[in-house]
Amino acid sequence: MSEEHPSYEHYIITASQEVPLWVRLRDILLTVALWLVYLYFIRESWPFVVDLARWIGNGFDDYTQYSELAIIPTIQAYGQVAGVMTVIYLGWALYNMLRFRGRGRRKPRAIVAPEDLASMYGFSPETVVEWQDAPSMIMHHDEHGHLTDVKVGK
Amino acid sequence: MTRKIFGLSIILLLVLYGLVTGYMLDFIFLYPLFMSVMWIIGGIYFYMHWERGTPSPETAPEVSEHPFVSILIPCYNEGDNVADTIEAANAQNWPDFEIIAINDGSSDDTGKKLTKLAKEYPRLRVVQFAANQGKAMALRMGALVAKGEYLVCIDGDAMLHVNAVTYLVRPMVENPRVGAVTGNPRVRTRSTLIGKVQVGEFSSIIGLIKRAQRIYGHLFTISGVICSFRRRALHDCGYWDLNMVTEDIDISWSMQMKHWAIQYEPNALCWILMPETFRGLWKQRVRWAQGGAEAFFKNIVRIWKWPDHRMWILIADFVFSTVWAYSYLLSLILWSLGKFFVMPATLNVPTIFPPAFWGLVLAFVNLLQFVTAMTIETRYENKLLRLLGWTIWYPLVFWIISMFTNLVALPRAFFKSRTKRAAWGSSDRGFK
Repeated sequence: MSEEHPSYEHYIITASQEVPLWVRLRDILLTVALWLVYLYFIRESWPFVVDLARWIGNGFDDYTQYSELAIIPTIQAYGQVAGVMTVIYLGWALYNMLRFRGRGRRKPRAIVAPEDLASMYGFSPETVVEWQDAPSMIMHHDEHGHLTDVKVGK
Repeated sequence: MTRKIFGLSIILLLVLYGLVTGYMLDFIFLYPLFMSVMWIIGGIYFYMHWERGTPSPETAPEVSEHPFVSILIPCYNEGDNVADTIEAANAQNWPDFEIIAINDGSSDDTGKKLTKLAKEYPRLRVVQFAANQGKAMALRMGALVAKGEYLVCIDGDAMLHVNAVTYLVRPMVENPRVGAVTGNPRVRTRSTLIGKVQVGEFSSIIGLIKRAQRIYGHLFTISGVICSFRRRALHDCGYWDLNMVTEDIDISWSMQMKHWAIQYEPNALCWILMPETFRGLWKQRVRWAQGGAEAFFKNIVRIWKWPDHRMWILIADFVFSTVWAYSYLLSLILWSLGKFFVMPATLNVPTIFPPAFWGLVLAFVNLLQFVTAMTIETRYENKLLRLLGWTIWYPLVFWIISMFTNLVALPRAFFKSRTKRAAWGSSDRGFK
């Protein structure tokens, strides 16, 4: 455990003894199987990867010589869309940062006073203050959720 | 009802538009791809700008003042967990605070345990409800009886890191425009496959999306399990809505529509229990999806005023995600029908799998998203990448579960009575 991460491991619960051995083995085997399924799904892409590696290895020569790289213009098109989205997105972030940095557009607002809460719930401010000072209480509500009674404890 | 019909019409019209124009399959394959790219870029930008080079969560940041803080802990049947939760809350590295536990008419021994704990921890105040009222009401009553203007809200089974309150309150103290801050929930329960996959999901999907949304400026939702509020901001939007199935999504939208900023603070750590059974996971995810749909229906008509234009992207995010789920379902149905009948050209779906090359691109980008997010999050858990192998379940199985929860949640939200009070969620808290 490094100094940067000194104290989180005691939070983590790996109660493996509560989970039967066969369930744990099943989970591992299923996960391995799922990775194999994943590789199976992308199997037709391997020739592309091979051609891509050859193209890069040959110093980015004419890609039209590689049959699997015919898709490159499509990749470029989608890459351009992603690029434009990125520029708009980060541009928006930078615009907001420059626009609002160091400028408090909102002045501090008054805190919520017991009077505000009292008028909202239909009780007196003194009653709200009493609740706010109470160490314990029991609250009663009607069927519509209106607060009907509060018994303050000590 | 009008706004629900309007909202549903937008989604169905977009699905049909994709179908008749032939763009449906392109949308199904490309939407996750481009969103993934945006999340990765947003996540990296957030990390470079706000996280890299800053002290770790183990170091409390400087704060110009230390106002009184109230930690609100709504509890429902948390007898097994509440002692740990209160102990962690009491250990906060903050000079002046109180803890308010609200027992929402639990049927177990939560009430008795809280009464006993109150004798042990002088900071702890206990509110007992005579009858169960739901989490939103518990939070409302907590905010009513709290002494502090700054409220930190956590669940009854969550354990705060010692510096969490400092990180959650600091943005509000330093910036009067900030109305709420959401923290970084870390999954504790890692005994089963479902638990392990969720660790990766919280980093790579939830954490990365929050970072990316923060760069845009608006968050789809705070995490209800770990968040803080300025009471003035809550008061402005009428506190938590008692009828919304997820109070956190609703309050996030309400607050941002009142032009309060919400910030994401990844250094504010909170260790949480998550479901470790499929049933528990399903119930939780349907609730989350339904909460998004309810917020969408609630706001779809009133959100089109220019001052709310920054919320439009959140609406678009929800609409396109839901259109994607329904388009995928439609493509599955049409593909299946095509196995038995000769389909008209416009309704012919030759494959439900991405074309060969795009399979590779999707696979690559998805893996890149997980590696990027989990590498960023090694800042908070240095052994996180060991769980990378389990994340294969996300693109191949969890995605499908998420899609189905979206499909189920939309009609549930559509047909739900506006006056029906929301109940507490799943009781599955994993293996302990």
